[in-house]
Amino acid sequence: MNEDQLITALKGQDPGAAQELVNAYGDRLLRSAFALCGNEADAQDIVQDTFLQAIRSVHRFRGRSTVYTWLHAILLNLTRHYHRDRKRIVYDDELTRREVSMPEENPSQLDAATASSALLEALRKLSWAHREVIILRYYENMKIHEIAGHLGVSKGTVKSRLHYAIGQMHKLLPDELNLFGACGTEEIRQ
Amino acid sequence: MMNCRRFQNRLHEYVEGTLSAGTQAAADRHLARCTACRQAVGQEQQLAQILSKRLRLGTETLALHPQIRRRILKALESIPATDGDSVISFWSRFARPLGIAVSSLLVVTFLLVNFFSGARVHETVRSDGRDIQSAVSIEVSYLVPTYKFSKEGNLVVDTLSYETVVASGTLWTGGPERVRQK
Repeated sequence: MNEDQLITALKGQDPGAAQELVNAYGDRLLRSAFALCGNEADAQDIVQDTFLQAIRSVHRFRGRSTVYTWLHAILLNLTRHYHRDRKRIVYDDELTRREVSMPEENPSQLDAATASSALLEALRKLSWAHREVIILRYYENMKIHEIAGHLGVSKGTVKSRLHYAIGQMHKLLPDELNLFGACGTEEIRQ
Repeated sequence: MMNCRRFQNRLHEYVEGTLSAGTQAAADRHLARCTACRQAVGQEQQLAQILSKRLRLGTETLALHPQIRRRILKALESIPATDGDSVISFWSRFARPLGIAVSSLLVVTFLLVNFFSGARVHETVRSDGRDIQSAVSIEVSYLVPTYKFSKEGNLVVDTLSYETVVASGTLWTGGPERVRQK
């Protein structure tokens, strides 16, 4: 079933289509929600609400974006509400370590997992506006104009937020596997 | 000609490949002679690659919990059939004609009201062709003070009294008719 068929089936309230939608995009949305909010339980709830809202408003989907982009816009909006309600993101270190844990007999994988964990932890310390541009740019691989459209801000604002966010990450992870040592925006902007 | 500052402002679009053909050519010409900007492009590409890889590694083991999947599908069954599409198509089909019809009705009503209220004025046109227009009945009352002085012995006594005068008549827009006093 392609995207058009899927949307048509959803508009016809086909339960099979809803299941296919969840199967196709559930995990991907969950990972993005986790990267954004930093808590797996909350991410699961946000994804659940995303699907429910999507099904309720499927008649408004006009096919101007991909289904995933449409779902992600809903998810981003819900995550913002979550962030606003919570006021402060509580980062569950134990959960993240469990999620990214690798077999101990493979040291290189363990190092990579540790680096990922540190990166996710540093992301939690960014403001919401700066965290979301990092996620959209480097996790969702969205282009600048797509991020601007997704967030409803100008391209200049997106670039400015990216510049600041990467500078902050550089400060938070100065020696993290030389990740930002060679690539910090301070050097890029000079 | 593109300088370093202009190139840096377009760095992300250059790496994405979303510059227009003209700007892309100018950027390529600038890069051909600018080592610092070439290095910046390489750093941005490397940064994107590393961040993307690390972020994916940090989340790739996550999966939507089966209980959540079940809950979503169960909740979807309980969503009432709003038939939103037909509601939307109904409005998109009928909203404009309905709006035009209502607006036309209002305009016609307004014109009719004006027409008939104007006819009442014409009813007062006399046969000689002079427009006497509408009449207004008026009544005005006012008090007239009167002092009376009288001598009582060695005293002079003054008495103040008031007389009420009522005037009524008809006022025509062509000019007031003589006011009749009661």
